[in-house]
Amino acid sequence: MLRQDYELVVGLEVHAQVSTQSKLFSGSSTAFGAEPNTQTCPIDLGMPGVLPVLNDKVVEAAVRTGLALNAHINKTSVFARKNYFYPDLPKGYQISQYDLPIVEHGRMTVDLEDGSSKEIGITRIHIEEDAGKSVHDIGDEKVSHVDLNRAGVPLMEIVSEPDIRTAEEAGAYVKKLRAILRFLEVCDGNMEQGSMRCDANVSVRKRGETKFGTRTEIKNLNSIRNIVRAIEYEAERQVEAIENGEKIYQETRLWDAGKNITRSMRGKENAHDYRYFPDPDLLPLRLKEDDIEAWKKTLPELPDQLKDRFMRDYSLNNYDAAVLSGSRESARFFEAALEGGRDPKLVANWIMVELFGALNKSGKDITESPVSPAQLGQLVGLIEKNTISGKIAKTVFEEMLQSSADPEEIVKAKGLVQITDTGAIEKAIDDIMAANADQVADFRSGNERVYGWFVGQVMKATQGKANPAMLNDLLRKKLQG
Amino acid sequence: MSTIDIDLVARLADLSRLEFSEAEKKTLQGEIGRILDFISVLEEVNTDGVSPMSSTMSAETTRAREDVVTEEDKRDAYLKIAPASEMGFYVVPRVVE
Amino acid sequence: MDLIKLGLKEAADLLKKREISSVELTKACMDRINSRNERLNAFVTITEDKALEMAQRSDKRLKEGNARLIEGVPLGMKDLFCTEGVLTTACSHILDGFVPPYESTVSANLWKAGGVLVGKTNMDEFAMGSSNETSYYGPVRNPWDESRTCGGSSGGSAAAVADYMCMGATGSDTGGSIRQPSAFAGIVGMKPTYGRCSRYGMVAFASSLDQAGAMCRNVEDTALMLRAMSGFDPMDSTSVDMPIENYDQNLDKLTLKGLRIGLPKEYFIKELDPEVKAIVDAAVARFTKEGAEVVEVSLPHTKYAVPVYYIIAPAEATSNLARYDGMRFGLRIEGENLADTYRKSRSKGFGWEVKRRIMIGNYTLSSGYYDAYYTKAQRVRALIAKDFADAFTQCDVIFTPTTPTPAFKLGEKISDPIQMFLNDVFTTGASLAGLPGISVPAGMVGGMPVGIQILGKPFAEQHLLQVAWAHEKMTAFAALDVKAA
Repeated sequence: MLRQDYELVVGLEVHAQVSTQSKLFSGSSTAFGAEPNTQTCPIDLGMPGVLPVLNDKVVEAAVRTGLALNAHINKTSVFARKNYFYPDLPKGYQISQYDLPIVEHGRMTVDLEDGSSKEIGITRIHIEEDAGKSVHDIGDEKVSHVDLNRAGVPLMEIVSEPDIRTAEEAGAYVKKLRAILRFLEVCDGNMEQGSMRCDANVSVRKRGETKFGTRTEIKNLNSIRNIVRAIEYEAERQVEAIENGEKIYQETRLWDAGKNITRSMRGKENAHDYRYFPDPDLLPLRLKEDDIEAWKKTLPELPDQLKDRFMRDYSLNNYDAAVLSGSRESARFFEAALEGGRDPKLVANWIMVELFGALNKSGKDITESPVSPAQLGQLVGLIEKNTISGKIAKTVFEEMLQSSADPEEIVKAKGLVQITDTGAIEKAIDDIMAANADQVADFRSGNERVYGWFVGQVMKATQGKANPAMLNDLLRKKLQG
Repeated sequence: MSTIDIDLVARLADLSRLEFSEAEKKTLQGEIGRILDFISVLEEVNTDGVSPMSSTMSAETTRAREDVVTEEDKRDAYLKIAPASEMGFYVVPRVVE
Repeated sequence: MDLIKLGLKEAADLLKKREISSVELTKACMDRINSRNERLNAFVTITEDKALEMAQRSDKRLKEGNARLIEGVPLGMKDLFCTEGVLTTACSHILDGFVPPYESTVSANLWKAGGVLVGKTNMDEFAMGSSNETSYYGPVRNPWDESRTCGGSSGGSAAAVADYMCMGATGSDTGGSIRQPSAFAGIVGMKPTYGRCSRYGMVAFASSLDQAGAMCRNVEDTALMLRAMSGFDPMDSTSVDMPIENYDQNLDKLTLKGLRIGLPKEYFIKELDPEVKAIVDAAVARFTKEGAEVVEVSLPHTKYAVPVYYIIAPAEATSNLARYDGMRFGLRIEGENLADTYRKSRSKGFGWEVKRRIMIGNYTLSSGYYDAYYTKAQRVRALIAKDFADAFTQCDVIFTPTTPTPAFKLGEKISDPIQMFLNDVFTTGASLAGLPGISVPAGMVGGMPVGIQILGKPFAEQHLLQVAWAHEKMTAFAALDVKAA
């Protein structure tokens, strides 16, 4: 934890690969995992005289994302060249957007575990092309190998305001942003494959200070876990440096996930001057109001709307509603499990605690759940009808995870139906009281602790199937005489 | 007479990824200075309220294409004209990370 | 019949009538090239085998009655246009051995119309120059006087056409690179409106200015060639989606009576050779005799056109030339490390003029100078474009000299960049405004041809060609005949 007298300030830059068939400015494929350089053409390779032509799907994706983030859509935006030399940048410049991006001034609400919510500003979204990839670990050590399949792949760079104050908020921000992009089907959000990448601008300042401290930019954050850990580490490092009277340099640092540290990339820093200017090969991108309106109509129900609906219709609390609306799949699972009028709170609990716990352990996604929404609904139904107790339900659920069988079948096959017959429970109580007169006397002389022992005995006698409430009721009456 | 100092010549050479001998730098210093003099006549033009014109067609919108894959794999043809390649990659002097 | 002296249209007609064959015509051009190119250096690559192959295919089509617009006619292609399977260098050492795996749209259009490629023509390196002296392969010599330049950057195309090596050649014009060499060589050269010809596959110099065009020995040929090469291209975002007229079919459909000829007072400057001025006056007089009117117009920002051009063009070029890094194609000089390899490849690969322009471009684009130079130049560019738009409310066409003087001596200006820039004084304005312009032969000064430039409204190519054709009909200069022939 960061020292109480310091405050963390974070802004995030997320690069999201737009889900398209072809590249931003050429007809090359964007499919993941192809053999090196098999998805390139003269345009991606920066050959002489060839020219970029914009992919309209990317424009639509950026506008829809902007609308989903409550942002302003710029009717005119301009593509600019960012000039620098690098072997994975074939043209010697990257086509990006600079002073006139397509989207500006948005905002997004993130939900935190303590149940609170916070609004984070979105500075801008711009469209740009990805670079290729340099591989350093094959062949002669004096050379690098360049694969340009990624060169020209469409990206949206989504830049947040420096509104983030904790590492948890940063993680929640990326999670929420990823959910929105997935709801919109504009990015698959796969961080391992690099279709979503994150850089963090991190600084610290003494609480009460109004000016920002010097920030560092951390790159190479390829999972939400790494984002959180890297920010935590970097904040500690900066505080320690300041406390030791050292200066924080504005620099780029690389997250080393193996060592759990950030390290300086000094050397690559010598005075970048990107010499941005409007790309004369592309005219300004001018959007028509009609197109924007039409795209607005294609927006799906987004996580926040879904969350509000869950809170309103199912009386879930803010956090539960946020978790379940965090992906389309979990929201769909939840609503499907509710069919037949189950208790939403109970269903939500079962999904969030038992199901997510089990999926997490086995490294599976909710789409790969061995238990179907209908089966989970059935299970909750059995609890509601007092057919089984909550405790038995956990046993049944374990079995469901293994066999994907219906809970009713498991209950029937294993004879787990709860005993709700007063007579049967009474008989069990009577038998035990008769056989343990000493303990009965002990209880009646005021030793309350022995009560639990009686509950255990009755449960044992009924193989745990006695309805707990009824058991409790009858046992107390009989013991008290 | 505009002058640019020799350090600026060196910095521009670095941005340009070009190398020059000291004599060449001197020559460039003079030539660039004279060219800057020549173009600095623009200072006298009143351009208040005039928008920069980056293209004679900048009133138009850029045309967009449909998201369709139109290129096939011609890697061999492209790698054949590369100064160095192996295993399907372009081979370049080591990129220092 | 002297085959090489046939015009493009004439040759196309004779081929269609099957009075001549494409193979014999192509061979005649090849003989001319082989006997003359060593002196003139107009071609840097001669594609003899390919030319004969293409000619044979054309003859087959002609025989089958499937002839296309310019079936079987030999053409030169400026080395700036990428030609699939044929060496393309933009006359730069850095593109050593570069054989493009793709074809430029302009050249593809010409092959689709039946054109035959005889070779790639010499040019200033990356089209940066006005005298062809910056070519890695040495300067072109003017067929009228071999001690003189044939202009630039499309000097090779101008010399090839003037010297009867081919019936027409492509050029590219960024600040005058078609019009000026055409004037120096006594031929017709037209730069259409920016956006008319696709830039796809044309090695980029300054993207917002570069425009391909046609260079031929008379106006009708130029009209026909332009018709064949231009048109909308979805591969170029700045290409204009407008139909191309049958330029060569409508040349006589203009009445000169009432035609308003604008003469911009700012173009008649002291540097203008008085004999050149007399030639412009004579051309105007021919039109007024037929009922045309003369209107004095003003283009107040004329003197800023060359400075604006020399900010914008190098800035765009700096970025366009960043791809020549020795990594994926072209020249690589191995250095000690990556940075060293970049520097060595580029320093050995580019010539002095190109390097200087890269340096200037990086200066005007770099932070701290960007607004003072680049943005300022873009604003003045807007004023220059507005000058023309205003002038064209008062006139239909503008007449100017194409160049202040006839072709100068090789070596005369190459050491002084400013002197060389001033050669572009009459041509850069229209480039910055994106307007169409044509240079036509209009007289002789000291044994060298002189051209006049006719500028028109955006996309008024047809109209300009009609005016140019009318002028040609009124003069003895339908085709100036090179003495050396």
